[in-house]
Amino acid sequence: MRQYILSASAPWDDLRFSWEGVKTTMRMFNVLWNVYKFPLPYMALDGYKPAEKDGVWDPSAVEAHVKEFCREDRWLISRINSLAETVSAEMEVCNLHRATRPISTFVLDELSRWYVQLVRPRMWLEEDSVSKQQAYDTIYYCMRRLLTIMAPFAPFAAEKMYQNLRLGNDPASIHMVDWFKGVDALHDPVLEEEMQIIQNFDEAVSNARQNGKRKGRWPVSEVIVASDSDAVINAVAAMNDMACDRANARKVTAVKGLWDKLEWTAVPTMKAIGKQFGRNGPKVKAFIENTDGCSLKAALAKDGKVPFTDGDFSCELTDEHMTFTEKMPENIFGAQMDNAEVYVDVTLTDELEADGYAREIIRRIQEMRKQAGLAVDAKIAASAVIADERVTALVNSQHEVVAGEVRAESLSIEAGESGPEGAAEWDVDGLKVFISIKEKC
Amino acid sequence: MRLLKSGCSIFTAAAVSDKKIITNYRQNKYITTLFTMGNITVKEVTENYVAKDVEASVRAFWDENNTYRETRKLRANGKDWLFVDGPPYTTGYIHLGTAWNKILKDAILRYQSMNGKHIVERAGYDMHGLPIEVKVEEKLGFKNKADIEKHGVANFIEECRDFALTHKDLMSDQFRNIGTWMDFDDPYQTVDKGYIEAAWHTLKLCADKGYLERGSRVVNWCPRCGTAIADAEVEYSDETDPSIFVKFPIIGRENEYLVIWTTTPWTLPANVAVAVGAEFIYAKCRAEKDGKEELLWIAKDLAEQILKYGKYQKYDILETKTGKELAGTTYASPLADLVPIQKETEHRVVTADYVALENTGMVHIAPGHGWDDYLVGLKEHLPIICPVDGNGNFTEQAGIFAGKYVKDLETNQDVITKLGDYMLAVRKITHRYGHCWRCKTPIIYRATSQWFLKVKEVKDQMLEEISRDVTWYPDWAGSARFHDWIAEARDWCISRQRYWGIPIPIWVCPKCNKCHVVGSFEELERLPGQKMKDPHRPYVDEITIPCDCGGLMERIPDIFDVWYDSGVASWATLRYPEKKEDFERYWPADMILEGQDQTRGWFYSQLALSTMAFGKAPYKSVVMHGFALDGNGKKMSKSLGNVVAPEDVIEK
Ligand SMILES: [Zn+2]
Ligand SMILES: [Zn+2]
Repeated sequence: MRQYILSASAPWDDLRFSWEGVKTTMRMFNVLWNVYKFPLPYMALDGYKPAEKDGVWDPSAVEAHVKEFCREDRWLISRINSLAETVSAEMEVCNLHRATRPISTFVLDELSRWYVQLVRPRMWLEEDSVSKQQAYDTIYYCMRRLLTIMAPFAPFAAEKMYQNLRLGNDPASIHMVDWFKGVDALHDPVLEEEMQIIQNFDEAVSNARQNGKRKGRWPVSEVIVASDSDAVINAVAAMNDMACDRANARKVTAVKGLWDKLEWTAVPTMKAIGKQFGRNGPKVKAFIENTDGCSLKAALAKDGKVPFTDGDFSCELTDEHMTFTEKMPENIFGAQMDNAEVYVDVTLTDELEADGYAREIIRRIQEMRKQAGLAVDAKIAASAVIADERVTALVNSQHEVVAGEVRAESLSIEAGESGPEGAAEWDVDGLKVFISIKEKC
Repeated sequence: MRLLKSGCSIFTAAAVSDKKIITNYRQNKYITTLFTMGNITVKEVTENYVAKDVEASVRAFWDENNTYRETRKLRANGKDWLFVDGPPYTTGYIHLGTAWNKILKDAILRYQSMNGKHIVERAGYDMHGLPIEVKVEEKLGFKNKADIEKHGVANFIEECRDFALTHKDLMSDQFRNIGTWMDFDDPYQTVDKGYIEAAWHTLKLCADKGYLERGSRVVNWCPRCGTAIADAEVEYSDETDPSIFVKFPIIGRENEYLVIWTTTPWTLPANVAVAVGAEFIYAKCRAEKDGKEELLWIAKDLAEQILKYGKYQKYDILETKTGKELAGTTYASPLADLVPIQKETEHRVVTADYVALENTGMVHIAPGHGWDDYLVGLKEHLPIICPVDGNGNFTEQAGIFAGKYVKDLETNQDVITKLGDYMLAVRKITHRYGHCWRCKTPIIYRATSQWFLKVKEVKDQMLEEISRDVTWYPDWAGSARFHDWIAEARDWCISRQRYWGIPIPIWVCPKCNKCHVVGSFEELERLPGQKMKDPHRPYVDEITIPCDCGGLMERIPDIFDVWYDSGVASWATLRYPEKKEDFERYWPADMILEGQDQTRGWFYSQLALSTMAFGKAPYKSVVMHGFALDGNGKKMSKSLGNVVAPEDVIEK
């Protein structure tokens, strides 16, 4: 409730109470709660020990080595430090609402919707992996910092989580912890900007996929980012692996300016043409309509004009005289992001389809393992009966991948209209799949 | 290599408890690490964030470990940082606005504490005053002050004290519940002995510097509550009153009249003058109605309309004069034969700046019943007549009207009837009229003897203090809003004619009229050699002080305006004057934070008293917040049924 009240309005404005606002705030706390609890079991399983000095948490272990950390870790550490700086600055002038709102944004958009998605696979790595250790360090560091700067505004929630995270000789209460105002040296504005671009890209790709009715779990062969902005081009190049991962694409290509695969059609602007060229108007119109739109657009972009001569008549045409309509190549769907256009090629090849179906099957077997309460490293025997011959063949081409991911010692993938006794029936995009698993002791 | 620990999501889906983990992993090699994560004990983490449960468990944790006090102790060597809690009134229940106020404060205090500040604070409560008296009166079924006197003032006071104390405790529980870290075990309370002594001491400081003054003045008066009330305590709403045009006969002229206008016929028995605009042109109209002629003075441009109201069939203008030329004209009261005091009083025309060219352009002046009238009276040395008692009834001075309640419709009608042929026209008017903020009774203006603090004399100093030494959040709260309010400052009437409040420590000798301001309990017990049981009424009223003239000085029966009570909070919370060293060390306050309505209230009363008593502002920074409104932007109020209780918000 407090977080809501504090963020709802500037202290000196009137507070307009709304239950909707309260709900939104409660959602934020639930999201934070999920972020907080998600790494705990992994940390416990791996016996994770945060760095300490005499039983007191030692953030310098992270801060001093941040350069060795993964990109997303460095980004999150930079963001929490920027956030601390913002909150501190606003609190100094009693701007409580401007201190609390960025905290919500951080939790929802950056911590939960982004970092946790990126880091999740690293939590599943083998025990002694450095990358996993750094993921633990990063998330522990950010939670501790976040709880500190949340404490004045959400004193109960911050205390509750802190009590579970504090080390033996840490202050007894979050409210006894010294304020954290951010470390400027940990602030990496370039990385933050690049990551913001990838976040925008991620959203644009999902919009484009929606336009093309291709769900995120189906891999695509290529995504094109066309932009005039060097920042966008550089970010997509620098974080290409992450862009591919997020887009579920084999390849993400950035092009400067316009994407040359787009087909442009030039449409004469008759009002301007008629007024300026009078009886020569029809000649101009015919010229524009009969010339390749792409070359006209390129010429305009390069020189700002196109010369036209027909017999005695000659003139220069500019963007006043024509507009362009874009035509997507087949199976390409676009969406906009800040300073760029994203194009997704949703053409399905057998290979992509095989990959996609395999993952669908993996996801469902994982879900069943979870429901059965199986241990992390328990081995299983699994069978999948798929009501489509072609798909069965596709999935079988990925047999090894599926078996490996779900830790199946034996795995059968067959075509059929019904599964064995006790099999779970799943619906994969309208396709019936019957799966059964059994633990192998 | 990427390897899925495929059981991963067991943890995120199900409630993760130590027990469950053990069950799931009984045969697992990780079992030894389950209880601890390094040095961390992983406790039960529930599936969802349930605010109510989290808050309850954290509250229990804080209670068990005395975390609030331990945190203050931890920062005891930090830089001192005094925060003064603006005291909520002890009505008993906190609403969203009160909760918001405390939440804002709490967030700032926690922030400052984490930044190493040694926070000095106590929660505070405003526990005297009319609202509680009215509640107790309602409970006991009382109608007015006479009922209280019958019941016994001591009994009444104890009821009030009871109400204040129990409601204070209720509120403290609610504030603790929303997680406010303030000292609710030892809050400052305006009813405490020490607090009252601080209020007395402050008055003494003001009196020593010559800011205390007794004066006869027109004040807003609630006839039901029988007391003066402050401008800020007057609530305006629409009311319909008679709007009458009356002919005042000019002395020494035959059939010649001044035509005045008023909406309060009951103030005519207190009339002493007619005010005109010095430069306005007035016309002597020869007006004819049913064959009878009269000579009527009315502002020239308004005459036609007024004569129409009076149903005159025709008129012509015989002569014109400016207001200045008319001034000095004497007239007789049309009520002279019925109201003895009107017969004795001389009436004349005076000029006044505030007269507007509307109605007749001639304004009836009763200095005993109006603020503007009162000022005109002072300037023109007019007598102040006030034939109305504290209950709003006419006194014997009002002759034929004696005993009537002035705000009764019949009383106005009676005055109108008695005016007979002197009435030129009776119309109706709907206008904004002031009411008592507590009991909603229409107020009247009364000239009474009251005690004042001469705030006007320190106005400039106050303005200087707030612009030089006080930081405002937001900036415009100080530079515009508060500045404008102070610039309009009037002298502050601090006396109230009630029971449940801090008694004003002024003793007056009935024999020689000498005044003495008592500045401490020690002084009060020393001078008469009497023990004081309790500094409230009626106990303190029993104490008399020997006067040099041989007489016995008695306490004036008044109590302080409650704004005076809270005005001394910043030093009273430090137990000044008892603990002068704390005052030296911590005062003035580093910050106060209150709603925008306090621009005219607590921000102001504190500054005025502090400037008079100590010559400086009592706070270094002020944060102002708005009101709590519902989703449609309406102010939350019980009558609108849109009040949101803070506990409902946590519940959901
Ligand atoms: Zn009243
Ligand atoms: Zn005397």
